[in-house]
Amino acid sequence: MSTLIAPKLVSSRDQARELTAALPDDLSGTVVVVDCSALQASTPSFVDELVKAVLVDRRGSLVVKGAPGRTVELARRAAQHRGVSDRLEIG
Amino acid sequence: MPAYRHALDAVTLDDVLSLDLDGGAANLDLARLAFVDAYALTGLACFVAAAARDRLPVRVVLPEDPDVRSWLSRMHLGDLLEAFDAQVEGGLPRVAEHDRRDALIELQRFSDAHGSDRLASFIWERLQGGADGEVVNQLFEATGELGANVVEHAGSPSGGFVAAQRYKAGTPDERIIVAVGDAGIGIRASLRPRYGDMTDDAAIRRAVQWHVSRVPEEGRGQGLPGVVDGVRGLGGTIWIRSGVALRRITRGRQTTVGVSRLKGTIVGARLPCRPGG
Repeated sequence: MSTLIAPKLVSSRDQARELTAALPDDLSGTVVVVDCSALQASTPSFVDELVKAVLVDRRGSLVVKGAPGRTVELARRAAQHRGVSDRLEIG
Repeated sequence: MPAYRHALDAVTLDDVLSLDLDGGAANLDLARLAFVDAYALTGLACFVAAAARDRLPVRVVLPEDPDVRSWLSRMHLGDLLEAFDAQVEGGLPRVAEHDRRDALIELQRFSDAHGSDRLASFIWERLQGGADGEVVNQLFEATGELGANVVEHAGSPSGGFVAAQRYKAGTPDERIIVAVGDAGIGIRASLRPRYGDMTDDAAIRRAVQWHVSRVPEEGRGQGLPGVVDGVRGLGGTIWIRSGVALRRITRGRQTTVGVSRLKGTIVGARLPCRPGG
């Protein structure tokens, strides 16, 4: 399991790429927890890029923990649109 | 006392812009202005940047009304005019910058994703507490998404510009206007390689649809439609100007009017600070 800490405010796709840059290229069978307890606001682009980086590009599982309601909504929407909802968990 | 007649906003912005093709100059005639909103201020910045890109000298006539001159100075228009070597008749006054951090986001320029991220965070920090949380969140999302669009799609060498202001504080009509603009290629040229040629109006209509993007990649095309839906959902208004079209979008109505050609794109949102009343 890997844990990433989301900062207070996140907006661009670049920020999502930077947050996930140190993760291995293949996360099959691995859970990535993103601790959002400090997060106050996010954009659809950031959340979509996070979902893409973990669930699509690296084929891992993602747990979004302690996120604001709007971020949860965006994560569910992005995962559904990309057809990877089965590997997204809201904690 | 002279009569200052013009309120400069998204709709009236053209009134002060002109290109002198014989003299080879871009002119900003602000003399008769009584008021300039944050959208128009961003539009002025885009006009100046576009003229500089075309190597046209910019000539500026400042407002006669001292209050408007002071406001433009407070919003840092002078820094922009200086940065682009505009020829200004007279000068903007130096004004004491009393703390109005809850009400003003001065005109600012950004050129990369980090700059756009910083501005979105800046908007959030500045406006937090000055409006309902969902409004502040929506403005954060709008600034972040629109700023990212400028960096990623606009092809604007001068980067982008942002300004915002909260108006009528303490009244039931209290509202915020935030605008993001650039002097780049515009929406029509951005979408053309993927969707073919179309009018500026058609390009704007297309760009506000979900999953329409210059980038042919899953998950793209959420920024502008998300901003439009979010602002409309809170009872706000969006203005999108690109090429020769200005589209106004509210919850119940969408209209387009023709405008003079302006390089780039300007998107502005006006939101009530407390939509719940």
